[in-house]
Amino acid sequence: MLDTQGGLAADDIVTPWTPDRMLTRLGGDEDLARQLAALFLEECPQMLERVRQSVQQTDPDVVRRAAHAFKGSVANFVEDGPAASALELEAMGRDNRLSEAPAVLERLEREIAALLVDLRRFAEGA
Amino acid sequence: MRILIADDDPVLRYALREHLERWGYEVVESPDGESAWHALRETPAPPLAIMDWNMPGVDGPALCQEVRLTPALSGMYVILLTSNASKKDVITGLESGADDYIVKPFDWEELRARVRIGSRIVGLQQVLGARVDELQQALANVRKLSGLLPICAYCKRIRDDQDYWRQSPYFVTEHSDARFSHGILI
Repeated sequence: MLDTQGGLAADDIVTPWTPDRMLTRLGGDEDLARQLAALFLEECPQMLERVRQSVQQTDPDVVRRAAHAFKGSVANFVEDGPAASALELEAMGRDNRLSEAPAVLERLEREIAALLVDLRRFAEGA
Repeated sequence: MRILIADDDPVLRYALREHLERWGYEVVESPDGESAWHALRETPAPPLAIMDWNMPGVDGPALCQEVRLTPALSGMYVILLTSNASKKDVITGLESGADDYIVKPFDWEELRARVRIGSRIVGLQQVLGARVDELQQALANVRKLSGLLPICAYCKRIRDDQDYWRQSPYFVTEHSDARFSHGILI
């Protein structure tokens, strides 16, 4: 399960998230960036749970769809890390090769836990 | 102008709404393909739509096809906004009936410019539609007066469909928008 406080192996992640790229894309609108971060913090557990369940169900098309949707939302904040892991899961679903999916999901969970820590700090104005 | 946003990502929908409202548009949101289709069947339908490709229910290209098969939505301008970036996807998306195709992650100023193009095309189509209506009305009036009219060579009365000889001014005013102002030639 995802530790919503971000404690789950968050130290594994080398690169912390910073809002720079996002702020550049949003024309420096910090208020909107914080609102989007807060919204993602709220929506992320359900979206990640759908990915988790899809991997457990081992239905390739369900994995592809859930991972694609999650990747899209994560990509609002970061292009690599968890977005890349979600993309990898999506490709595994599309190509019907789910044997490695649990391991990629585990990595995705760690990366998301770390991202949520940084996003929570940012959304709270730190 | 009202714009429909159809995307299952709540974060992007929020960002799109914020930007579009700042740019002066009114926004209707749908989190999936089916509710987007319901929003498009509203009267009047939003004339411009920004749709994701992958959505629960009906996907973006399928929605585009439905839009193009629906005469009431013939003037709708559709932008597909998707992370499906391959050339094959772009061609499939445009061939499904989308007017424009934007790949995520996108630049907001680029989106603004493209929405402005869509908005301009919608405006031009609305003007064109109104002009076509006017012309069709005018053509209908012209048709009423077209064909061979039997007219009396002496008194200039015109014989109508009921074989009644009518005075020319009455016949013309009944079959067109023309009106006569009577005067005397001196």
